[in-house]
Amino acid sequence: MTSGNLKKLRPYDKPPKSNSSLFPSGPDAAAKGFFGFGAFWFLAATGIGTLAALQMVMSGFTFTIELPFGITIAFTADTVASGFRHTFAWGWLTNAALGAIFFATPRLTGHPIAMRRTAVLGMATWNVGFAAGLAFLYMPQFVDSGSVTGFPFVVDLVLVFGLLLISLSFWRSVVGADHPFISLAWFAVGMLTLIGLVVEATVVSLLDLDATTDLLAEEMWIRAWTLLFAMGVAIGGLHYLVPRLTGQPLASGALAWFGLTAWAVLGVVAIFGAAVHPSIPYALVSAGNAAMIMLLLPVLAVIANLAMTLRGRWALVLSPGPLAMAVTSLVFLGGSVLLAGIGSLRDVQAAVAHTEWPIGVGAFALAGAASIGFLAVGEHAWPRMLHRSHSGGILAYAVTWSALAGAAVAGSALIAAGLFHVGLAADGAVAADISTSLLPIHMVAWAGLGLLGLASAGHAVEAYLLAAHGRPVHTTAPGAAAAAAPVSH
Amino acid sequence: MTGPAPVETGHEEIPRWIVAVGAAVVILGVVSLSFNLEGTNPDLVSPPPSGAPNPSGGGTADAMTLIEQAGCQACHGADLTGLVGPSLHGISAGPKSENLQQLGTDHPDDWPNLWIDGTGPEVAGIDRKGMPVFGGDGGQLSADDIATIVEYLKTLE
Repeated sequence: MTSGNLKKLRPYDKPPKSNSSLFPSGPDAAAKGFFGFGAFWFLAATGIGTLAALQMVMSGFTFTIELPFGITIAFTADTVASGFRHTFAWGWLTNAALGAIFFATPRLTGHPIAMRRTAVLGMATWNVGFAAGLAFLYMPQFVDSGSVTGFPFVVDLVLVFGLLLISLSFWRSVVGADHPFISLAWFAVGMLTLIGLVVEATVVSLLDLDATTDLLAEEMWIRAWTLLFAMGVAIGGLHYLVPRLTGQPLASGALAWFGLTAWAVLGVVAIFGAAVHPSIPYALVSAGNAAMIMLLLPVLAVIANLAMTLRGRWALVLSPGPLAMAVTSLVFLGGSVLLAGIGSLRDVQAAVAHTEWPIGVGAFALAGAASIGFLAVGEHAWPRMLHRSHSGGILAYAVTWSALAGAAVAGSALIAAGLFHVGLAADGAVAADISTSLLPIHMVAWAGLGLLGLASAGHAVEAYLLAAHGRPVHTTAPGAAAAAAPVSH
Repeated sequence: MTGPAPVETGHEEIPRWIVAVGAAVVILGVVSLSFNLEGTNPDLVSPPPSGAPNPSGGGTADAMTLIEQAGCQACHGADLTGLVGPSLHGISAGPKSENLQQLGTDHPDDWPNLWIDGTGPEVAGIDRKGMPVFGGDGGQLSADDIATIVEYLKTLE
């Protein structure tokens, strides 16, 4: 090899310019991707939910699409309902939670996200894997029902691989944190839970479990995912947002750490409250139920702490936007845990087990507390990630109010349907009559979810308008300002 | 304008009413647990019976669980009256599909078991028309599971 004088190189001797990488590695590339995919899947879930609502009214509204090689895509009530649940949980909530984590983490640690390309590759892998899994749900000939996720084994493996890449980037990023940030601790619990659950789902799909064990695993899995991942990350996001939006310090560090510790410990025990079956020790289920009731304690700590942080700034809540949504999310958090606690009392649990009540509580938790919490983080994050500003205007009102109204209507309708269901069953009504009687309430619930879908559409339009027509502003690179700040949450 | 705002954690005193409500919640949980240490859990995990006749007195819920787990309803419809696949009502009178007529004649009692299992030589040459194989080593359903399902299906008129 020879070395020459670079100053004497002729134009054609210049080394070629490096092409842009397949995987972007900008400071917020992964967070943008997660939020972008999350918004896309939320819109997809709205479309699938609309189809499910139509099928509920028109029972014969099912159709199939025949493809070559004997592949049939079936849009039945089962596949559509399953598609809605999966798109909402794996598509929207998981992406939004990871978006919140990858947006807030560098701003807390003061350092850019580590292994940024790895994180982006993980984000892409996760979403491609989920899209494949969603497609397989509509092809019953390929569905492996032994899996908790409902996806074929190979799709579970892809999801695990994607999540490993995402986790690697996250843990490398938080290792460099100078302070024990409370938000990061919530995120860490959520990340550990998510990878543990996805690995468990993959392992379960390999085992030849009987139907009852499969159902028990699924019930416990759903509760763990809801409490420790979706709601946990949302609470972490609220701890990040509220002090920044009010410009006031988090009221009490001790209360914040107490809330996290109590939530993590009680949340793990509460998982056993979902396994109500003769084969499970009675005392263990009772301990799970008691833990579910006692989860009110950390929720109280979280709400009180963030409410105290808002002291003197409550007028800010009246404006539409992230802070109004954060407070709305807190209200749903309190309501969902209170109702879940009531539903954990043995007599109530037995009465409402096979009714719409648990779904209503789930709607308060996931459509209310978690979704609105992530929308709040998204509303806060997009201008900072795109370095652009816009006024918001009527769209901000629409997003805030339709999200609030949608989650409230959906959850309340389902809980009301559950109570009616209990009454009708006590009167000896048969299943078909109960379904007919409750149809109007179910439609109200779907309308509520539709409103939430409108909020997601508004959120996506806001992000688009911001990117296309927003006014460029100078923003601090992720971590730069935070590095200088003596923060501890 | 949009950079992260430096914020600190405060050390505000926790209001007493929060401590009181928190203590009440803990007491409620402990009391709830102490009154529920012995007993037998009901089965609230398995889906309830679909309302179909249940001559065996206890197998319907198990059969419906297995049917839901195996994904039968995706092709045969939520009420098993047919969708992509044929209706499963009335199979006690014999198979309806043309490709299963010979199997029904040769094995009048257990043709549904053989068909669902799908691994035996009795069904080796039959066009499955998209019907998955559920039995065999590592299959989704055991022979007992299939028997439970078939017993239930034969009750559907």
